[in-house]
Amino acid sequence: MTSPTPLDYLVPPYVKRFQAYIPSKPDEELKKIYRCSRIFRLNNNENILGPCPAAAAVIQKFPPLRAAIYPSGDAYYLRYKLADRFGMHPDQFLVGNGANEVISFAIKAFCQEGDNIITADKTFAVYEWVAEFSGVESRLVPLVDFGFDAEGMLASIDARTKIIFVCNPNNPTGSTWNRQKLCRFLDRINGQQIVVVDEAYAEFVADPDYPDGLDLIREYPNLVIFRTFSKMFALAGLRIGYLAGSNEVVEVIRRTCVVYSVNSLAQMAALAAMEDSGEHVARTRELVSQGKAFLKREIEGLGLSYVLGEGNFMMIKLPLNDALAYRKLMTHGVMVRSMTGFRFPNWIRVTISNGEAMEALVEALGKVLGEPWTGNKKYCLQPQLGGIKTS
Amino acid sequence: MLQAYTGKAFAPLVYSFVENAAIALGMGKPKAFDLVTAANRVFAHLCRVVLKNYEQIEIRCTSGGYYVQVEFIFPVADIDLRAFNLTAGALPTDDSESEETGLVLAARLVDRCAVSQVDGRGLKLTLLKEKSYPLFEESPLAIPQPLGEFSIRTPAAEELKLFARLVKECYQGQILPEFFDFPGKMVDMTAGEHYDAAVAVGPAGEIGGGIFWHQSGSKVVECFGPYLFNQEAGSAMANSLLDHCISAIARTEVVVLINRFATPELPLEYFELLGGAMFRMDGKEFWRESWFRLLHEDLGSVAWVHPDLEDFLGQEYQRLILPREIRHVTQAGEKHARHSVLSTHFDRSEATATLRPMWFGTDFEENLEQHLQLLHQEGMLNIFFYLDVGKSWQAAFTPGLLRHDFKPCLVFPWSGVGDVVLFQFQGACS
Repeated sequence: MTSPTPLDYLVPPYVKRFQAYIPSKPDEELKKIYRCSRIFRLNNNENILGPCPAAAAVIQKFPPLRAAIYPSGDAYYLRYKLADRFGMHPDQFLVGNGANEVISFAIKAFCQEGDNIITADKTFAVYEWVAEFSGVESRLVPLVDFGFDAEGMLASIDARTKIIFVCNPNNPTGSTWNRQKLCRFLDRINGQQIVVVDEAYAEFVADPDYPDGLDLIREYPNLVIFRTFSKMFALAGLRIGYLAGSNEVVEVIRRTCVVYSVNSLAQMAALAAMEDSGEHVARTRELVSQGKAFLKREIEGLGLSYVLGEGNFMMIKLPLNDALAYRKLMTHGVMVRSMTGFRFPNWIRVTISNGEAMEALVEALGKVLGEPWTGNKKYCLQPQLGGIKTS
Repeated sequence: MLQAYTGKAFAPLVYSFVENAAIALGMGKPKAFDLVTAANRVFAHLCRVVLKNYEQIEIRCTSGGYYVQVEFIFPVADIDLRAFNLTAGALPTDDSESEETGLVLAARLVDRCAVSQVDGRGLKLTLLKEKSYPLFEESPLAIPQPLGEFSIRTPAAEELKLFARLVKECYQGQILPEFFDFPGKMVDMTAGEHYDAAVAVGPAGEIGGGIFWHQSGSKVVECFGPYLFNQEAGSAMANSLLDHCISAIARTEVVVLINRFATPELPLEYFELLGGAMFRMDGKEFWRESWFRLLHEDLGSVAWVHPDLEDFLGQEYQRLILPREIRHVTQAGEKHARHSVLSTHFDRSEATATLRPMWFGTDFEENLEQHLQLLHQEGMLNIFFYLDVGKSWQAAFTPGLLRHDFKPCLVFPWSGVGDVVLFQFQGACS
């Protein structure tokens, strides 16, 4: 038997401090745990319509022998397609195993221990996580009125600030910066830091004043845009996303980019999704629009507060803690995102989905809110614990 | 850190090391003397009873801000584990001179005495002694006016002391944690790693309320408050303080937030009621409730349960909607160790002792009786037993506990390897 591994010595302090994220169990396991026969997945902002027909066809026809062959190491054809679509050079794109991976590329490229990144306190957690387990400080600026605070972020910059992350629209609040606000912010930065604008939900935005970040890269070479095929294009299970930026910035990030990390099927399906006529996007937008209208009406009917911005999700404030709400809703087969982890205690985030799922959510919420819960004083526990002598 | 051997010749070295370290770490001489005496008793006990063959041990002295602790770390091969029971000095089989020997005296001299396992290295015996702090000053104190506007932030040292005094002033007659009597201690607590505070501050710096919390183990944070000082009914301050506390721990390893000292201002919608226990102190009895909330989605776990505990635990899991797979642990004729080991934690300010199982042995019930007798002699009025259902071997303690008037009163989710069932001793000590 070998000696015990000296983990205390081997593990860097910033990794010791970090706690691994444990994702939800597979649906089949959750059904057993919560004793429900089916689960409406409203926790991950997935697109219930699935991939567009062209991408679906690619997936169905994927030849098994292709699985034996390495994919294009740098998503060659997809980068050319993106360049063609957005009027840029293929070298301005890097494709990753989901947008999460390109977050890691960017932080590794620009930050070392002692540097810092700036983002909001209540936004997508992965910027903060990757920074922390890389030994980089996360400076978290509180949201103002559920939106990113430009002035607060500018005030937090110091000589060790390397990257500022703006989630636009913000997950989970759906708030956006319009073109004027984003440009004014970039002008104030004056090229001194990398500004990442995460546009994971850009394709859902209806506001005509919403800026297309890719358009601004020519004017602001320190701007990096993240996009994903997981949300609107419904390829979350294949894990594919990308970043775009100026040639000189992307050339640096490429040095930390892991090649061959995006599989062949994901590349082919993403390529097909881009070639789609746009009908799938329109159908999805229509579904989200109808779902939001329905949910807004029903949630108001239940007397609950909510935040409904851009994107295919809605945040709802509950009169009970969100972790309990998650468990209770799971017993009704409805899986939501409890928001304590986003620093919104007692809020849940729900994906806008089809009518059946939305109705199931509303029905389950109605039941949960109608039940006594242990935080409610009317539900007095003491008499039930008769084992304790009171005198 | 000192490496020494378990021989009498090393006793002066151990004495000198602990004394110098305690004073260098900021402990006053009288308390340092207690700690040194306790460490000496433990070292003598190790030499005489536990490690008789001149074994190498490691002794560490560290500061936690408001306390100094001494840890003895040593291998466990070929040792008599019985010696780690608090009652070991009174056992008829050892060579001690009287009951006033061994670990009992050491435990009496310090604020905490505990035995735990150290992965790959053996056992660790920890002595913890708190520093001396003056009681809070009972001078006139201006109670703040209700605040229309406030912001939440971490208090400076003087603000924290003022916060402690305001809590004492505004919450007279309520059971408060003992540290509110010692504002200086709270400052030192927050200077360490595991305690934090937040206050609600008005435009002119008035403190309208506050909250205090600390991490206990890797998965649990306990919060105290929120405390509000003369704020109007319906003020958003309590929610804001709690939001601040939760936001500070939401993206950490912490799974559970508990509250055992609920104030009338506790926003109940943030919590779930775990249950309660009856406490006796200063000739009075009072019911204390425990509240909790999970900070993450509960992904489920396994609870290893003796059949005698299944009804209670099953009902609690159903009431709390905690996804748990209950697995029975029964005896199938396997051999057990002869001797059991229990770790004892004293909270003398609340006349409370908590027993935790270290090792199961067939003498458990006899050992438990001895512990009950000793705890009675020590003036402990509230005696609890923590059973971790995440550790299958602990299920074997259940029948003996129930036979000795211990009853399960509540479950603390995720407070050990798995959930912890809190048993309370219901009988009279004799």
